[in-house]
Amino acid sequence: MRYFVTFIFLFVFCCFAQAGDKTLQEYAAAINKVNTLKSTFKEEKHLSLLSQPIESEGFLLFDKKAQKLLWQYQNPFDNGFLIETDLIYRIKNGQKQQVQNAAGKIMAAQMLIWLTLDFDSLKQNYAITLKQNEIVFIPLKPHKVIKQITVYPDENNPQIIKQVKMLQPGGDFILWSFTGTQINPEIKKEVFE
Amino acid sequence: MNFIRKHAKLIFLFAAAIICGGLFFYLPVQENILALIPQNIKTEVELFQQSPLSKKLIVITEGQTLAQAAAAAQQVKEKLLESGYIKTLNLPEENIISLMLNALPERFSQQDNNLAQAKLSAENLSKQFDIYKQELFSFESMFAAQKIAADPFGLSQILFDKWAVLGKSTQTQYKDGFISDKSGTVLAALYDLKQDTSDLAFAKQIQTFFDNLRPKLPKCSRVFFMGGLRYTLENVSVIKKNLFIVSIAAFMLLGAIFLFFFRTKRALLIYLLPFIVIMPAAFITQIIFGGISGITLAFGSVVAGLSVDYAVYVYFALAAKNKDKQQALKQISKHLWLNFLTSALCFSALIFSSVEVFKQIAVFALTALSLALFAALKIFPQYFNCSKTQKQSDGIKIKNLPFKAAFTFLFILLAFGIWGIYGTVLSKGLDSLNSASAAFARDKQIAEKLFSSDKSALLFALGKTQDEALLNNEVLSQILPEPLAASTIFVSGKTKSENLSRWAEFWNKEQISSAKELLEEQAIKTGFNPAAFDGFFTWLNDTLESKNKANSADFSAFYNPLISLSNGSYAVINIVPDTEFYQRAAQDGKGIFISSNYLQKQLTANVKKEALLVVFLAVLFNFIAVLFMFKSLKKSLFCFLPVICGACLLFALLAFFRIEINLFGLIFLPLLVGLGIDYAIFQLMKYHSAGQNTQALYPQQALLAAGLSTLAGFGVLVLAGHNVLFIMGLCALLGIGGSIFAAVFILPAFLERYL
Repeated sequence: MRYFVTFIFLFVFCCFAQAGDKTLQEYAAAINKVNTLKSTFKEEKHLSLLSQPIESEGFLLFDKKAQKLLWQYQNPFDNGFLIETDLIYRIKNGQKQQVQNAAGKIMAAQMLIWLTLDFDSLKQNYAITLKQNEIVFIPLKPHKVIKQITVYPDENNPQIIKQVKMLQPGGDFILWSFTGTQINPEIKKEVFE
Repeated sequence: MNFIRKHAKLIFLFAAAIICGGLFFYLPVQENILALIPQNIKTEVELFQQSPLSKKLIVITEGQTLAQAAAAAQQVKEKLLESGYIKTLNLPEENIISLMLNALPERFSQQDNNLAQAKLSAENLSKQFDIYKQELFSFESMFAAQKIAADPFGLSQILFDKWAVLGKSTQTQYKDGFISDKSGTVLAALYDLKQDTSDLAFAKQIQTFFDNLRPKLPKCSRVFFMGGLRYTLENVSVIKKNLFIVSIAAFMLLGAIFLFFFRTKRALLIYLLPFIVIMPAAFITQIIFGGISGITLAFGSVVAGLSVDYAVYVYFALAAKNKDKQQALKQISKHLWLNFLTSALCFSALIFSSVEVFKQIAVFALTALSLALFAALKIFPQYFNCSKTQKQSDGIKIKNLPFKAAFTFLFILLAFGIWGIYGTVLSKGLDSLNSASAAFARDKQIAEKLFSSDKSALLFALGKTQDEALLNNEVLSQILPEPLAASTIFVSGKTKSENLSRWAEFWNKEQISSAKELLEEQAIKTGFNPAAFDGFFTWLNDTLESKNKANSADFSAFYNPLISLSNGSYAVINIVPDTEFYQRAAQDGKGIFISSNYLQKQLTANVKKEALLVVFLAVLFNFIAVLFMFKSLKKSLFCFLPVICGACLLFALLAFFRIEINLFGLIFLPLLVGLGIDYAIFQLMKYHSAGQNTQALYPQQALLAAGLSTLAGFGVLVLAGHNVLFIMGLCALLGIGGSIFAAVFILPAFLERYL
């Protein structure tokens, strides 16, 4: 679970990030200007467990000030999750239920790191490489779930990312493609309820 | 040099007291509840102390809503983990499926055999794969994929269900991972502390931690902690609060007695006597028992009161005018030896008790009284040997009551006392030995709603070895309608071996082949890759060829029902409903059933029995002693008159004001016997000396000064809010007060009439 949350915040950070020849500090400065985020996504799972990749779709909402993130699947199943500060809820059939995580402390710490783009802390766990069209995060210690995370920003609008690919140790990977991303749109509080 | 030679004995005594005091502080003061428990229920109490809650830090958070309470509870948990005060529970989160699967073969019972068979049916597997598909589309898919590949048939669920039954046996509700009340606005979490819960310094650290944390918690939420640490803090806090008041009151009263009866510098020695005798007595008790209880030390104030009496009697005897001092000392010595004998016999009776603290008190008191007698007869006389000593109190004359009035008083006291004995209630349980503030009482009430001990009990299976305890637990489990959850997860070597054979038999070649076929068919039908499940069959083969021994699961890191007892044996703890059925089953299965209610009943009954034994022996020993001394049945019976009156007044007023007496009140009873008899002996000696030249040795003010000093030193504890101190003070005030009253006013009338 904590790897998943780590990834989610990594993704959120990446949405705020700008590509190009910028330094990590410049990314951190840019993220401060992004307060809210809206996007739709397509999720492709390439798993050795399955004969064919499977696809799902949904949307996400993020409010930095309220420290809330809603990740909602709409197709083929209606489910998702909500993060409120340091609490995580599973959403199923419109009902939310708190997710208990034994590594709650680590998750809370991770959240703070990613939300504030604390590169000093990130560098303790990941080797971060900036290239022309991608940002690569590789865990410094072997992970059971994450081998590498690659973020592909939009060439035309560096505040928006097109894709995120999470590679797992066994070769499985998940690919998220984002469309219709809005930076700093107005998000009503009620949507997180 | 002359000064040293002149006061050598006194200096030696002071030096000995100081050395013993130093050694005493070097040695540990031990406080173990088992030392307060009668022998025949010690095992039960020791086992009860091992209750799953007993050594935990219980953190309770309240909020106006579940979300507020949950947020606060989560925050507290994180801060506690950060602080390092609690042990981290290392749940193997990512490998939990592997852990459960590896644990299954050794726990594969006949019932599990049937469950596994059902899981291997085509219908069940089809349902299972529908669930898998949904999981793969959820946000938790990355974990689901690993789980599905490792355990396609969902066999690990068999063990998860066993754990669920174990959790359910505690009869608590869970919300958001915390133990919850019905509304969900009060949540509790149990944590294992890194340090001993009885440590005061650590308790203070935890309190500071919570004090600092409170302002940082979400609004409308509140947090507090319970458990052994909170009790330690409460007791110390209440004792500290009362100590000042009690000390001031005792000082003022003793000062008043001194001013009224003595008013000489030399008489100050009388009040130094307790310091001289208590330290060596405490040190010797520590040496004999390898430690000393705080209760024994608290009892020191009683012994202090008694020791003062000897010096008071010597002081007044030597202060008598126109009296040969050597003759007076010789005469009073006989009286003091008799006093010592009666008190010593009372305390000796405590040695026959099975309660260790009673034995400690006996040794402590006998040592202190011996020293006090020695000091009063051998050291102090040279300081009291001055006819100018007696001043203000010379003129005290107390008229004896007429016989009719004395008889009426006695009759009323007896009637009232008999009613009181039947009406006095003995505090149940050990709670009465603790004291609490209003805030603590409120918090405790909230905690008790969450952990209702009225509904559940503990069932123990014992064994000389761990394996024997586990085996006996399984035997016990078999005679119950529902198996004990712990017996299904923590299994004996014999059962382990049987389960492994069952597992091997279940997964025969035919079964494996059929399972493979079924899985392949289902995988293809639902879009899964059949090759992804090869790992499961590799693992299965390893279990059958005993290759996974190294991976054999050990759950004791996060729950261990197996405990070791002080006698070297072991016990398995089970939480069961508090019903007579389980109580009977425990007897049939050679287990031990303990519930809060059962233990309270046992404790009350046993403490009563112990108290009766001790009082009976104290009365018997003293009766023989006074009969031997006075050689008169009538006089011997009169010696008990103040005792009876004191006891009657005590029980009557306890019953009238509905004050529950606790264990410490009962400890007081043999002391009351000793003190009451002392006062009676004084009056008898005085009566005998009437008209003789020895009468001056027994001035009424000597009895009053001795009795009032005891009351002042001991009775002021009634001002304390602490349960133990209060009940000791109350018993002193009523019991000793009643004895003094009877000795001064009632007894003389009877002596005049019947002797």
